Amino acid sequence: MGGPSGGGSGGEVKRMAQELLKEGNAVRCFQCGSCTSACTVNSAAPEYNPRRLIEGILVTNTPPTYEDVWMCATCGLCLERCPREVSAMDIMLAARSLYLAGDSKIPKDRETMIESIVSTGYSVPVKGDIKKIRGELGLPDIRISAEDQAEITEEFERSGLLSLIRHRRGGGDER
Amino acid sequence: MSERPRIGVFVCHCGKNIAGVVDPAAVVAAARRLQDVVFACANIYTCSESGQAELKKAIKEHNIDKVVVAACSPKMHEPTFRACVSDAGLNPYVVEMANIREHDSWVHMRQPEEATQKAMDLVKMAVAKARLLRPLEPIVVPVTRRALVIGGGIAGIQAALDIAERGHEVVLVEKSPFLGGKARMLDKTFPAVDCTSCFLSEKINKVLMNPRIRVLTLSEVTGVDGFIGNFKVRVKTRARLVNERCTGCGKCVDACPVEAPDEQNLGLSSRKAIFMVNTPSSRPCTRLPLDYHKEVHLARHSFSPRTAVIDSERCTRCGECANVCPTAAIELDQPDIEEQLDMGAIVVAIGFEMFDPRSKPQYGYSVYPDVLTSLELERLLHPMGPTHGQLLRPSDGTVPKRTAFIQCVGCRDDRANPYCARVCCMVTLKQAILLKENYPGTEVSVYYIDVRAGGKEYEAIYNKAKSLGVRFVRGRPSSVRERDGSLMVEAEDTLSGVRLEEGADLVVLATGLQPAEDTPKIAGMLKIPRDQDGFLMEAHIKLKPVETVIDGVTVAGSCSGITDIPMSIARGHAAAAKVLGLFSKEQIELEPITSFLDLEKCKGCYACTKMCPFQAIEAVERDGKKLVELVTSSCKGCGTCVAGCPFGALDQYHFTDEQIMAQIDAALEENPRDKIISFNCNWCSYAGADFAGVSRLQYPANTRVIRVMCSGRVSTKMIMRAFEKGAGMVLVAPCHPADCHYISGNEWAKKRVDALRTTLAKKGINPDRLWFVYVSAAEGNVYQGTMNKMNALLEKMKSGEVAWEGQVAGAPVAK
Repeated sequence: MGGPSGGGSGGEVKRMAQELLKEGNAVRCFQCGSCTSACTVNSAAPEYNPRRLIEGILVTNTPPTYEDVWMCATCGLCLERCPREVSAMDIMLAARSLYLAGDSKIPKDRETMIESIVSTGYSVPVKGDIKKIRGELGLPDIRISAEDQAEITEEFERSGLLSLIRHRRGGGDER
Repeated sequence: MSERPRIGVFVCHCGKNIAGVVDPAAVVAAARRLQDVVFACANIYTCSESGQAELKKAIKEHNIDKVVVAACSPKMHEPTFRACVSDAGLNPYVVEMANIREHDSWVHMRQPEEATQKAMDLVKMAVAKARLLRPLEPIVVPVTRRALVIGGGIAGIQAALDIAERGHEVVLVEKSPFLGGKARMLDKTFPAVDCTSCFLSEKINKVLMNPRIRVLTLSEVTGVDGFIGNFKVRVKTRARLVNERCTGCGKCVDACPVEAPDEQNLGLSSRKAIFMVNTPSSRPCTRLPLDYHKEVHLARHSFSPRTAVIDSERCTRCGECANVCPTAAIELDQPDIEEQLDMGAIVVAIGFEMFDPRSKPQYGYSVYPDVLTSLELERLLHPMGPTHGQLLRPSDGTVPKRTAFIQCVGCRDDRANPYCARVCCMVTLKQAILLKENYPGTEVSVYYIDVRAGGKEYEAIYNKAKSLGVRFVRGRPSSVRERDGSLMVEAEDTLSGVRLEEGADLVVLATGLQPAEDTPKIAGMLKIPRDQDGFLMEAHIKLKPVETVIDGVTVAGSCSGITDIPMSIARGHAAAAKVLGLFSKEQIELEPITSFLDLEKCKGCYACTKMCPFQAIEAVERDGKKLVELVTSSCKGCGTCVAGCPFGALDQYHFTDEQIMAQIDAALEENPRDKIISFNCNWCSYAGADFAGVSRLQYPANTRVIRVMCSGRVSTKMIMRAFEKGAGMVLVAPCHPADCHYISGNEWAKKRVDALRTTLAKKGINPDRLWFVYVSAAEGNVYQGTMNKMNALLEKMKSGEVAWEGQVAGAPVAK
């Protein structure tokens, strides 16, 4: 076992690239770069280049690394601008699943996000500045009901996500 | 018949096309076991000279009187083999083809055994029909040697000239007031980068001066009837509101108070509601609120007769022009005219139109004034354009220092047109060269996916652009936006992986080209199918590039797929050559596949007279008896009346009830439950199934296609016969609702199938075993999909999940 980036064998890396060929219309990509220039992450972090990542899958059997796949902000602009209906976003999501199906850890920030959803109902906890701004704008205090929170916890348990977090704790922010 | 027929079977390998999948030796062996087959052999290419020689030799040696050729589609080589047996002394109509290529080896490539089995069945069916074939005499009709050319662009002009210069009359119908098409709007053209007007005005003048060409501008074809050599065409000519007394003095233009956007300049300048053809220049007015895309192709240019024309939509009928006209040439109450013309041949040259980039909002077209299309840039570069040929950007009238071209706008794009329009790269290269040469120091960047410069002397143009310093960036921009007063193009330079955000003073969108707006209308009128991209479909994409499935109708120019000017002219020549070939004959032979009548059986119920859209069957009374009379010369041979006659008094030559029943029986001799009988009409679904073959779209090998001229020929009896013989499923596949080549045959087919579904339920046959699916000639994928879906249901019935006998009446007919 072992995720490809975690020192996996060349065969596994190749297999992952082949798996990803089936995702998000990858084979239709003609490398025009519309995705990269549209990409909200690329504009801030040029090392994340969705076209290059697809090129790796198509040409050199190189899947995106563990670090790459978690950089996608899932905004969908790559698909929106693509003339070939290729979705770099869906390819990255599929790659995340493949990494997690191995023994890769969930990055710390995502873990925090998930825990925040479970405990508060929101991916970004409403505290500090946000609370202050809400107060200034005269917006009511928001708090999730115990009933809803129980439901969320139940759903997350059922999906296996929480046990995954418990078993893989400590992925760390690897960016 | 006193003597048994003597049938010869010839199985073609078609090189590896058939023999790579189907085993021809096994098919020959099976054919030899069939009754009345006295000879069977295989040939590497039956259609080749040597193949035909073998066929003729066998006819003589074995005294063969009926011939079955198992090879490609009859749409491909039936004429070849008819001519061949005719050479050998037989009647041409004793040939029957088994389509073991398009309908077999090409669509069952991974199932060689099933494909071979199917080939045997198809041969058996062809033998069953051949046994009953009768010698027929072709119908001879005269040829009207006058050609209609639809579209006065460069291709239509060329075709008209070629035909007229060989001595035949031509009527050239053009929707706009003037000739020249889109080429008229171009300044310079590739590959020579020379002036358009130089060659175009010469051709237009030739047209106008040729006494055999009647030019009908402001005109549209509104209806077409008839057939090769004998078309009846209706043409509507809109009122010009100016009569032939106009001397072109231009006083009316000065008097006219109505200003309107000048379509010739794509709205970049204005003109009056009355305007001259050869006014030397437009009023420059670059800051008008622009209505770029008004699709009125009124235009003015130097190469048309100098007369005034009124834009009747904009004209307020104020009469100021009439007041000043010295020759009383203004006729504001002039009516539109509609006339009917007899034509022997039709050339369709309706051209293309530009993709509208407003549906790609990320590029800011119509938001930022300095984002233009390549055709608009063409007008800015044109001496007759709104800026008299000066490159001045619309927002502030300055000369742009940095120009960015964005390629493939609306092309190679699944959300616009998926194909490459072929000419846009060259247009950009030409324009980039003109900018570099005329404005030294200007920066030109071309953002591209691939530069496609495949054409004679085209690569040299690319090299020239490079040598002039045009910058090529390999990346398709994701957006154009304005920042700090400058347009910014966002793209990735995919060769370095670097994201670029570059300023530009002018952005030119190299917009793609797409089928003209009128294409569906013209296609419907002429019954020509359209391809998957919406262009008119040629008879064969490779072998018959300017002919169509309708004999006597040819296509020229971009209407059947985008062509550049050299290719448009070549296609104009080619279309004219086909017309001239037809006009070299005084009369032509048509297939004698009309209906025929057995008056003994006619009960005078007049069901048939209602079905015939051609008035070929007349109700008569003889000796007080109600009967019908068949007008064979009006019969088009669909067979709808035959299928509709409740007493069997009507039949159709070459597609007799007996012949079709024999095909059904032969198809279902073995394992009938596993099989699908597919009735395909000659024009659409048979060609659609052929197209599935040409495209190598795979589906299960249990289909047995029976070709009829029209789905209207498929009678209730035939469908019932198939079920009685145990067929698993039956498909009736007509042309799409408005596309029937016999106007309404498919409607009758639908009525019969709908009615029969109720009957089937009553008779204990699951009505879902009878399918009715529209398939056009371009819809190979629909045919494939239908076969796959029918098989899925067939499998469910075989496994017992769905009942063969179930009474599911009322379930929707699959579409």
